[in-house]
Amino acid sequence: MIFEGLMAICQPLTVLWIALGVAVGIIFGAIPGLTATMAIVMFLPVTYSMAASEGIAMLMALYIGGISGGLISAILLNIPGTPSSVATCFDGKPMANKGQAGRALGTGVVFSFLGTLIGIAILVVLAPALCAFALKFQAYEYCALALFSLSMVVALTGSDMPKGLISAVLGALLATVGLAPIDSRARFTFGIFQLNNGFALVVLLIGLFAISEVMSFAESVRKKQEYTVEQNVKMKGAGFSFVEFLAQIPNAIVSALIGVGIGILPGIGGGVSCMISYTVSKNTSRHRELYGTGIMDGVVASETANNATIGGAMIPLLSLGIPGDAATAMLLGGLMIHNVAPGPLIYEKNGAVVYAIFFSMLLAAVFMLLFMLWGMRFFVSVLKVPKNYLLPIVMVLCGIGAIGNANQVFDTYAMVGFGLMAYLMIKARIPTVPMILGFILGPTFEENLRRVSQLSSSDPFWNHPIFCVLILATVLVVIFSARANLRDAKREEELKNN
Amino acid sequence: MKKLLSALFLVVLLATSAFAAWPEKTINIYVTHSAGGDTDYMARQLAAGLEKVLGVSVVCTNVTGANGATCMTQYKDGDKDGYTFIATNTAALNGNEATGMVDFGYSAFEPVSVYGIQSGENIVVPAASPYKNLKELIDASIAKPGQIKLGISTGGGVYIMACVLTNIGKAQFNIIDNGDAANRLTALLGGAIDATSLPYSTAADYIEKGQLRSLCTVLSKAPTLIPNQPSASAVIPELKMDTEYALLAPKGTPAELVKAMNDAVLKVCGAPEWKEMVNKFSFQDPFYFDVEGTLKNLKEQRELFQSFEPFL
Amino acid sequence: MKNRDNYKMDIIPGVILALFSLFYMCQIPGIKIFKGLGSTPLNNHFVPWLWSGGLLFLSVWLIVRGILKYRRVKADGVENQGASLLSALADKREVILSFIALTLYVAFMNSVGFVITTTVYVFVQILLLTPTERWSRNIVPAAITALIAGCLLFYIFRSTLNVLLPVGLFGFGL
Repeated sequence: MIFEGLMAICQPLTVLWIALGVAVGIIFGAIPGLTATMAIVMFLPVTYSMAASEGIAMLMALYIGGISGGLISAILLNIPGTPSSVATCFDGKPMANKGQAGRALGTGVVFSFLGTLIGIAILVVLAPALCAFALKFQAYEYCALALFSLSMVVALTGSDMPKGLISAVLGALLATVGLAPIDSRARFTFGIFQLNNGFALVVLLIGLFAISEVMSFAESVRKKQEYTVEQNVKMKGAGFSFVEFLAQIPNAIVSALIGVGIGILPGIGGGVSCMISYTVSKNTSRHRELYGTGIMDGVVASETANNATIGGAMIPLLSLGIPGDAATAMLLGGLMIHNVAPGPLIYEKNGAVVYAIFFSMLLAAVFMLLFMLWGMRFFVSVLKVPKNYLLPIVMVLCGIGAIGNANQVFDTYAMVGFGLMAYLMIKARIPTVPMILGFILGPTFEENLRRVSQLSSSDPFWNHPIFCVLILATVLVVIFSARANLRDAKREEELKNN
Repeated sequence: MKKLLSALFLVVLLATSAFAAWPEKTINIYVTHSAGGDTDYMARQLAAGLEKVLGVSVVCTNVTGANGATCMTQYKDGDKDGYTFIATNTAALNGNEATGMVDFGYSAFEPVSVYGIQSGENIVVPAASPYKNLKELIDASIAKPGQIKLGISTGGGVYIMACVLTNIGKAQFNIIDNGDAANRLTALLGGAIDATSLPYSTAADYIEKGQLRSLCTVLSKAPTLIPNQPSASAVIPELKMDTEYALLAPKGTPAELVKAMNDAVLKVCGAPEWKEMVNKFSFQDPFYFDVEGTLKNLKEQRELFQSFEPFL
Repeated sequence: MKNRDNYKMDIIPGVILALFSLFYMCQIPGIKIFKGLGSTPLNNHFVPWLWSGGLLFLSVWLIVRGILKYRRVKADGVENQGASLLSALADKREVILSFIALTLYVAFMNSVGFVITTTVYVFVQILLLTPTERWSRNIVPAAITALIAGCLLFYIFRSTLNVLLPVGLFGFGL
């Protein structure tokens, strides 16, 4: 069966599809506004007419390429190419500003590869055991998990806690627009039917990152003389030494485990996994004050975690037939159409296909590494394109992404609205990142809270140990992070006074 | 007057010649559900067949959201030139109207054809559970009111099913929302609920492996390739949930064009490749109607769904 | 100076957000409550109340914090002469014009079509991001870039990837 799977992937045509998928995925991932999910959605119908192993291999390649490509624009433009690379901006862009764009890219690429490998390894070895664990997560557990992840906001915000919380709550508020979870009653739509779908994460991201980047450049038009920031970016190997690589291994392993863990739990996704692993890495580091100033650790944490999430998300998809996010939901569709029903019998009925998936993921990861390392010198040359030409094109691409997300021109209006909101928030020194967490987790929290209220009559909360532990952990995280934040604030105050 | 008449004549001539020439450019089909789902797959199979029959390209585009209501709202008054169609399923079309999500039904369109039927949903319980059939499950819920947890997805066909069970079957479940089929499956496997309804294709492997047990199908008649299943309608006669795939045209599309499209659809559905495809994909035989048959079929299902309205 | 202005950065957003949360709260009673099977007292109004209540609380916190800071600044006795609103806006004219350009772009895209609006927008936005003294050198390259971007992107995404970009007035590319 393993051999059969390998043979299916070793066909020249299949290898070609994988290479093509990775390349297209990287492009979709790298262009702000176009995401990995969108790449899969657009190419899924193309695979209907392919053989099962070819089609699925191409979808896997698109997925891996798409999640990995996001780091390019995050580092070079400070605009995350996909939701999964939001946290890559935090340290990636400062590194690029210091003239270490090549080093940041190299770090991102190598650790994306490593993260993917760890994810695949766990997928291959531990899938059944982890599925049993994932099944324990039901309404109670998700409700607590959403709260726990939201409590990370307190840790993410830094010294100005109320503003960080405002950002998160505002994100959760925005996410209530549209049909309510569970009962599908329209909320805050003002009778506009396009609002029924709510706002898409990618549209919010464009507003928060891409438009605000254009505007901050617009502010500096009369102040700056030089347009090309970096004329000669040095590129040697992956941009960092072997010793540096070894020093990052523990960080990478922790981040990969967080990534896989979040991937296994359906419904959370790469956008949250990169932020949580960044926060964890920062708060457990001995030099937490350096995070955000452009150090490798931040890029490593974010990029390892988001790629490890791929392997994690494949676990419930293959062994239970449960998709964890929009991208894996598309993959599920792709499998079903090729008459491969993910579930408990997948190894017995379609073992060859499962191994073909594993091998295609592996091959896609290798292609991703090769393409990205080879392409780095070209990516870096993006920095040489005058920004006054580059950014308008990026805006148009973002507009296309907003339209393409649900084939609605209406979404571009929301995009501009979010852009204005983000600009004003930055002016008011309200951080924009917690908003993403609030936006993603708010609906998860609400939906599961309401399910809990349905359950409580026949299934009280003390039957759910994981729920109780998570609630306790949430309280502890809030208390300790709040104390750390107060200490930081006091230190800043003292610095100011001196 | 003469001028007017000749102008009228000219218009009629032009119009008929336009019909005669149909189709001469790309036909757009807007699919109400996302890529990867059964509605999308069937629509794309139909489009591929139509391309061969009609000789022009037929492009499917997904405009998704709100169980298809977004797309249907947007295109119900779309271009009436015979190049715009909407592919959806009847549970969304009639269900969204019955549950009050939208205020229009199939009569806001010119239905072209019903061109397929789903493998249907089955009411399933874990294999270890004591209930062997639907009657036992309902009786157990009456014996222990509010203690047996039935997982549903509020607003969809599964919700209508739960309403029928409760209001006509007099069952007393603790109704829990679990979202889509994949999530209901997770909840059932994880022991968070005691029973739910799952599409046959989702549940099949678990039934075969002995982890789940199917109590009955909620189709009015079991699929042709899996015939030996009890029907829910044997216990509650009103419990009939047939999800069919339908092709609609925007309101006001000329009847000749609707008829011409229907002819093409019937040609596609009559082909042996189509039979092979639906046998494999939904365990059903080809299932299709001409325009009148489609209208009659939609009307019947709408009346059934509307009769549940007081409970929804 | 920055430190002194800090209180404005608390009070102004605080007031705006407080008003916004009140507006949001006013909308909540209008949401249809679901009373069917499986409905519980914790209905679709609850979480909106929770978030908007939280937002109101936090924005009041900001306002109070701002007022306290203002008192401290006043006690220091240094009253800063804030720049007038008009000159501040004039200083941000590229940003304001960029937002106007972007708004017009998306507003007219559906009726006029993707190719034309994109070409115009890219051209205008490139010039907005270029200092005026360099315009003469940049007009031709900007126009060429804009035209290529408009046509090429439309072709790629509409014709090959089947994204529903608006065709608009002239039925380009079909």
